[in-house]
Amino acid sequence: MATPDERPWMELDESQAHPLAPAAAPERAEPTESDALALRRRSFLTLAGISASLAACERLPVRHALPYVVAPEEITPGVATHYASTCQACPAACGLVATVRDGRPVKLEGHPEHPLSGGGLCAFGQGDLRALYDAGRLREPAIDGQAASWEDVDRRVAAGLAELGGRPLVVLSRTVTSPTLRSAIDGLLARWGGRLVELDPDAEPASAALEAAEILHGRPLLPALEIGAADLLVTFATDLLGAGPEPVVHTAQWAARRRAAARPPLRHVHVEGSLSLTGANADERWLATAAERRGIALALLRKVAAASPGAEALAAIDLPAAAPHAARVDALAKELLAARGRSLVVTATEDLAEALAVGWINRLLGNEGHTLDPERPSLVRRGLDRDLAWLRGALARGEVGALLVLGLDPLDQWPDADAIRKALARVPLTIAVTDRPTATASACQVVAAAHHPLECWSDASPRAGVLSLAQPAVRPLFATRAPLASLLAWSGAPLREDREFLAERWKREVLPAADAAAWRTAVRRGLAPEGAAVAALPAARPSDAVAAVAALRAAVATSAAARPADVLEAELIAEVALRDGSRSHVPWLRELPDPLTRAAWSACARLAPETARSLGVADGDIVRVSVGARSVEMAARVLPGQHPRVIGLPVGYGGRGSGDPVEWNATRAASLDGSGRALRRGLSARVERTDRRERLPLVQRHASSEGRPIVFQVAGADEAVHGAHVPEGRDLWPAREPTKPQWHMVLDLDACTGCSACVVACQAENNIAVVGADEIARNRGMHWLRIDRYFVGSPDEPDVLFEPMMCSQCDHAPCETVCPVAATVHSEDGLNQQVYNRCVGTRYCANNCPYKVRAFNWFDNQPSEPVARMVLNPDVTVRARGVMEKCTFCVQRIQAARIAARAAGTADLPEVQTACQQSCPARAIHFGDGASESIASRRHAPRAFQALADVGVRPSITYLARVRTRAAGAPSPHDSQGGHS
Amino acid sequence: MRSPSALSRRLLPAALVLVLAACEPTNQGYAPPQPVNYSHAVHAGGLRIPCLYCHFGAERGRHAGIPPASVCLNCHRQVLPDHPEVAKVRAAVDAGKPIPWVRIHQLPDHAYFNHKPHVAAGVTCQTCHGPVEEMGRVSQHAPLTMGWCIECHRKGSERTGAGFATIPAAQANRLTDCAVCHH
Repeated sequence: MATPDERPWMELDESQAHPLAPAAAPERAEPTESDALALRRRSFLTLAGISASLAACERLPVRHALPYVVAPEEITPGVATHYASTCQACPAACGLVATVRDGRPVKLEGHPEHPLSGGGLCAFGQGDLRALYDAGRLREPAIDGQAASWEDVDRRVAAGLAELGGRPLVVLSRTVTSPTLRSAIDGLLARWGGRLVELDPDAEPASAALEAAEILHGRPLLPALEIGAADLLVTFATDLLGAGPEPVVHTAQWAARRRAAARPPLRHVHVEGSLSLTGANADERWLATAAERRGIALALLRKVAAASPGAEALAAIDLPAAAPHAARVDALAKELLAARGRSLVVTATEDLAEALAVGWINRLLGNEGHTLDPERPSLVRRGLDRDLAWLRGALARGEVGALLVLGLDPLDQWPDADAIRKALARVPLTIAVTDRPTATASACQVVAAAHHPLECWSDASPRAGVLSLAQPAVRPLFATRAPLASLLAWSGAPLREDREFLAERWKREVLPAADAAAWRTAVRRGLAPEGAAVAALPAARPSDAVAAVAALRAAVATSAAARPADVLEAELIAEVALRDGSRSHVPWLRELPDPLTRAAWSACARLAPETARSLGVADGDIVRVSVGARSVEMAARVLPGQHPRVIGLPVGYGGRGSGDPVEWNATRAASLDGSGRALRRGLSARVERTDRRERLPLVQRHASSEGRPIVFQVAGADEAVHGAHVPEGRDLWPAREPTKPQWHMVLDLDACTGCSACVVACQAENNIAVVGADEIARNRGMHWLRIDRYFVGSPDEPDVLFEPMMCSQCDHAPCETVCPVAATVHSEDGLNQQVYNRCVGTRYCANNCPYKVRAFNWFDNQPSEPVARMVLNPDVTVRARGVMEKCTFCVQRIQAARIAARAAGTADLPEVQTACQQSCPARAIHFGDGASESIASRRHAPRAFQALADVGVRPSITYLARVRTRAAGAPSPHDSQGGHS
Repeated sequence: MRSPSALSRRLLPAALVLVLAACEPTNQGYAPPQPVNYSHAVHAGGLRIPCLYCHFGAERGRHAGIPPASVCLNCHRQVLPDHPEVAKVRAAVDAGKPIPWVRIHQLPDHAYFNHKPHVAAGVTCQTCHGPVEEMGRVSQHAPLTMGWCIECHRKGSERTGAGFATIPAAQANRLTDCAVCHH
């Protein structure tokens, strides 16, 4: 039996246990002025009828058909070509397959053969496709703000580099994962003398962990995580599953481990201050500020060291004052000791003591070589704060001869933009290589307009031993140049073309046989062959255990001053959609609601309910957050599960050209520390209420099931869901002769992390329009697939559940019975078809849908710029204004499979993957014939349930309930079912 | 006295019916002049060149395609190289500019037609395009309306008629689902 407390709830006022916030009226679209001026309905219909019939009289317009003059061999008009490549939206460098129609990429999907990412592709990576067609891209190079030719650019750069006079050329870049790009940078620096400085502009700090790795493993490279080998995962404030360093890889490992039936269930404990996607998915979540996290890590280390022979020095390490959760730490230390070699502790921190403590815990537990691999390190984070401090010092002292900024925007990402701008003006030669107009580009003399990564040849090695190839999927749209080609031109290399240089380097250093066939195979697969030689790593110095203990002792001795009670802690966080903000101009990513706050388009400061109450703020009230002398103003969002002393500020908003007002530039708030390090965690912040409000574009309540049981969690994989039953014996519908296949989808909520990759995949595949913040606030969002977020239990420390919702293709579809023009009808294979050309827009269907998954086109929202329209999928109708639309189970892909079967003369359809299913890094979505083995076995699993089953619509989607594993004997405030009994 | 609105209420439906009857939304019979005076009657009729030699896309995918100008020159480099119409084609190839053929068969954007399954099912080109091998200038033979498409798809569902026997029974009944053409 579930008590009312255990019901899932969406917003605070629905939580019956703690009615902290005043009950807000559900958000509804407000009547607009046009309602008052409206024509009477009858006369409108009359006029519409006449105009429709008159329009029908017109002959179709004369259109021309322009064939190729000489057809390229590999292209058949109307047939897609696929290119295996590598995603370069972030350094994680997942495998990619670009679907290209008539010369333009229309969809990016994960590369199923990639050894790390294995077929998934995150929201951010998929959004990169839309960035290719961004009308605001740089179209040609510029010198001193004036458009220039590439010859002029090369002359200017060559002249500038010739006059360095012994001062260094500094290349400032994100972590370079491409060995070929790195060798080109090395060539440039060898020619002119200088230094590469890598900087990771993410919200999640990595520098301390890199330093700790240098002390413990002899080189500043992070050991690669093997979550799949762990039985117990303990994470400190790292958003592994959300906006962390390699979300697709880690999500895939995490989810595969959760599904592994032959092993004990993975237990995941997460310690954090600001609610993250990783925290939301952990079995247990502890709230702790940054200082408390250090205390917890050190306390765990002491317990683990006390039970490990030869670690007496570590067992006697000083404990800071802030070490909460003592009882839980005891229990967790016992669990860790019981899982020697099968546990994994990970942290993202700016505190070297915490990073070292975590490293020592893993070493003492014997996890190295099992759950984390220092021998084959991860190469996606290499930015060290000390390199950055050197660069800032050198810039301030005027010692830099030339600065080449590769893709970054430090002026927007560093705290002291004005000082940096002045320092840049004193550098004799400044070059920005970027595909977007950025603040830094506007302060640089030479702007080398770069290709989009989908126009470039490159490669990537995100982990030692893994190497993939990136090839262009489209001819360059503008007069831009590949960054690699620019570097080659400026270093005077004999090979100037990016493709030639890459192929030559691969044939020389990578491929086992230096022949054209091996190269062709590598290009076709997008991967280096087995046994290929990949990038050389810096050699590891032998690590010195005594020195490593001493380093920890020294790090522990430095501690931050205690914070007064009225000062909160600000923490910079990254959202899954915008990450570091380098693609904050991409409309798909702006429209993607954050899975936790459920706000689209807008930055909002996350406050715990208790904190919000004491400040007297509610959702949408603008608060001023001051750190030191700087302050940022942002709308508040009350988020259950947030630490009451911690306010979460998202980075990534406010970039140039993103259309955000400047005062929302959280990225700058980010870097409020004046010491030269861009601090992101544990910032002392004063938070005040202002008297202004903002209407937040929240999608949360738009599709409320009004408290009916729609989502469930269970305590064990074999436990059945209670409270979700299908009514029997009340069927008013005529029986239908079932044919094969009957399409069915199974969504495993235990694997789903809410990462929202599927939402963007659906948007890209199905030409879903972006409507903007105002329309979202009016409940007019167009997403076919949304991820509902629910809380279970107390608002202070709730469990979080995610439930992807899309059209359930009900067998007894309530939308079909109310459509007056039969625009939504059932197909033989169990699909609920939406026929756009019949739809007259009564919206009865949307009103009658229990899942609220239908979207109405209130306006023509597709982009009008020709370049932006190139992204449209030619297999899916672009819906007009006044038409209803919804998920089709990617019927265009089903049709393509049927056509393929027809052409092959067989009745068996090839496998159909929906777009959401393909992109899912967690493999949480299963699709196929409902009677097939893989679907049927899941449909009848114990934890299977249908959403709102009692309505009796017979949905074609089955959900598998989330399993929440608690420690034996641990307090279980809200286990078992979430629904009504 | 009747108010104007009452009068219009009676007249409007009648007017609508007249308007609708007067024009059928089809381009049937459309035979625009083309930039090159190419004759299917000569090539497909007289010379018996198979349709798929030029329109090779019909077997592979959605569009049958208009052949690249280079395909014409496969023969016409030797055959009638000095013909004034052939000269136009050669000029296009030399200039690298496509010939702006006027499109005859057009479907609305919300209807998806794919040649491949039709060719695979053995539907002849003439079933939809008419006796192209007798046409000097190509005209639209069929109305290309939805009713016309569906008429044939119903036969396919019953698996009667030329070509339809090859359709597997498991799929035949799906030929009249909306999503076959509208997605």
